[in-house]
Amino acid sequence: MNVRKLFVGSALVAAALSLGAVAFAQEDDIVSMQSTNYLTDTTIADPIGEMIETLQFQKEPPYTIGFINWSTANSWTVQIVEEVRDEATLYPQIEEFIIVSSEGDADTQISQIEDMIVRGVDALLLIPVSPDAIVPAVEEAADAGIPVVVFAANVNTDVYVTKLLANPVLFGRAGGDWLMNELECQGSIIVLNGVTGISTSDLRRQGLQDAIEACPDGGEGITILAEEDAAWAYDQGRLATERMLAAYPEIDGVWSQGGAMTQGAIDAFEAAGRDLVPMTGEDNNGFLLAWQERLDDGFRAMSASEPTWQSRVALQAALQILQGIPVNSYYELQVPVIFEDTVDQYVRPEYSDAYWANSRLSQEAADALYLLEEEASS
Amino acid sequence: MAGMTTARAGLNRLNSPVFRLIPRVFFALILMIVVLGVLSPRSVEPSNLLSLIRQGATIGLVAIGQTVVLMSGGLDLSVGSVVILADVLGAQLINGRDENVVPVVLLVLAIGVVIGLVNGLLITRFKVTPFIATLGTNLIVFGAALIYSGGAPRGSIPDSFRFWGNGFVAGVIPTAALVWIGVTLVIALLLARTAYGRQLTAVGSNRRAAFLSGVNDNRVTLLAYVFSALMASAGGLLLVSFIGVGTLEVGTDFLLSSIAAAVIGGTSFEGGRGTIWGTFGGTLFLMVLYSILTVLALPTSGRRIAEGLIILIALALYSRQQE
Repeated sequence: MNVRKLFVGSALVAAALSLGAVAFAQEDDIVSMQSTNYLTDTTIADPIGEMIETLQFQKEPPYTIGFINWSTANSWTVQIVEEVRDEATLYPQIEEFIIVSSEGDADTQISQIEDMIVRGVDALLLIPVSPDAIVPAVEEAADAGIPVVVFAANVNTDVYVTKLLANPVLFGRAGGDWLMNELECQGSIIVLNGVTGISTSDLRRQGLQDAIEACPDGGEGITILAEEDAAWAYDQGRLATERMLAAYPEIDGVWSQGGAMTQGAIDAFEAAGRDLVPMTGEDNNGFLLAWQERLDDGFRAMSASEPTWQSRVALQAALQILQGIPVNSYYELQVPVIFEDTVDQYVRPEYSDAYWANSRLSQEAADALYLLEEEASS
Repeated sequence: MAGMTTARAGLNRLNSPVFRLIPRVFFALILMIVVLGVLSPRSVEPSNLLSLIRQGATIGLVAIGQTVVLMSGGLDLSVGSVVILADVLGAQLINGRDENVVPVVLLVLAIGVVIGLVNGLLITRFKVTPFIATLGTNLIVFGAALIYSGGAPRGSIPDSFRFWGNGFVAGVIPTAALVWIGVTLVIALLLARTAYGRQLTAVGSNRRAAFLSGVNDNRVTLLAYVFSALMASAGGLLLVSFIGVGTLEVGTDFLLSSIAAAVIGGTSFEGGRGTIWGTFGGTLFLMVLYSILTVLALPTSGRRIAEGLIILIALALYSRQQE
């Protein structure tokens, strides 16, 4: 009896203590105190996995954190790096923040992960270049006791502590729902994809399909006239649209899964002397500028985005883990959208087309990357 | 007698490598246009056909350079990166200013010449195989474009320069189409009328024999790579004037398209044979093919299979005619 009481009692005390520890840690959470904690906002990061206890990783600052980026070959990944660099400056607790880029190469990434283990980083942020090739290296890091936060791309192992991924189906669905609403589920559309066979492209396209099938008539009223891969690029987006315009006298809407392709589509419609129709796009500045310029002419558009500041959320997750605060094993990043009434808030005429407008960059950081020199007006 | 000699010379000229193959490629092209017209009458209206020529212009310029390299018995894998470097450099240096256009165009073309010299010297002086040499410069040039732009290119193109890629002459004829036709005409004439044209095919078909008959084969090869990089730079400039801003994200595969256009146009992959007009026809063939595939509205997988099959059939028919 006594033994049992003692057992129950000590279990209660232990539970209370650990609850207290968690509550204490969250109150003192450096992320909530020194930044905006995105992980607690389900409209940004929806926790759909299970809660993970992280006390084993708890560590006193100062912290050394590593970030292995997948590539710096386009402005989206460049902005990913700048966002997290910016976020890291908010925490004096981070003594060293090591950023490297694998330039799309799995072998490079594997040796970079091994290098991070040797350097003894306290936590590792990782954008995998390959879902399979780097698995052994990620497992090695986990075995070495380093908490790994995976984001932006998936890896086929579960030894990481948490992962943050945008769901491309939701991206495609956001544009699809808007377009179906614009057309009242009646009409002929053309479709511009990225690269068929790459999961981002296929899943975004799936989102369009879901939107069409969600029409009251099951999508009977919608005809897809033509559909092409345009590699998310202006040149192919424009050429594909020109070919479609030549063939089809009546096009009622354009569903595009990339902003540069939509820019190409706008220019193709205008060059062919055709009236603009509702089009979906992305949050790159070039498309937003083209959209804003044509607002008064009644051009209807929307933009979905896969935010570049997800790297900030990943760093915040790492800081939660290092403080011993539980995190979810899987956060699904939500898709921010821009509609006609908000486009003015995002568009930046003084920046280059490559700027991703759904940004949380500081003014200085964004200026350094994108500010155009004053152009000759004469 | 004199008249007969002239007539014979004229016939011989028609029979020269530059002109000999035109009818075949253009026959296939006309067939494809007929198919397109049957599938979609709108697509073969004059304005849409002119638009098809404009669509081929950037690939067409790059393919002219690739053709010359292929004729010399080589291969230029670096054209895609040279196009992107020219595009990024052009936009960032012109930076929206009219007065920058001429100096920047000259500078970008000069950089193309330097890249071509590097390719050519690696191949002739250091005896690196063309595949490896141009694969290496391809990586280096793309790396340079990345470093120069910091991954986020800036700059824009003023209207005066956009006219070349995006404008119309007399309101209906795309300027880019005229540029392409003009360059094709000049280069075809140069190859037909100069010793270099003959030396190119001589070196390409039998380097040793050409050398023994007094042709400076290294000089011929070097010039071919310089010319290819120059044309790729020109293609990049035409591309950036079409797009209007610098971008690293170019969706067109200039390497594969330039090789396909040349080979469909009758240029031999083994060297020694090829025509500039053939490449012109080959590029247009690709453009008409893409339109046909768009009109057929095949799923992407079917589209790729159809594209591959039609190119293979064109090549098979062509090589049979050769024998």
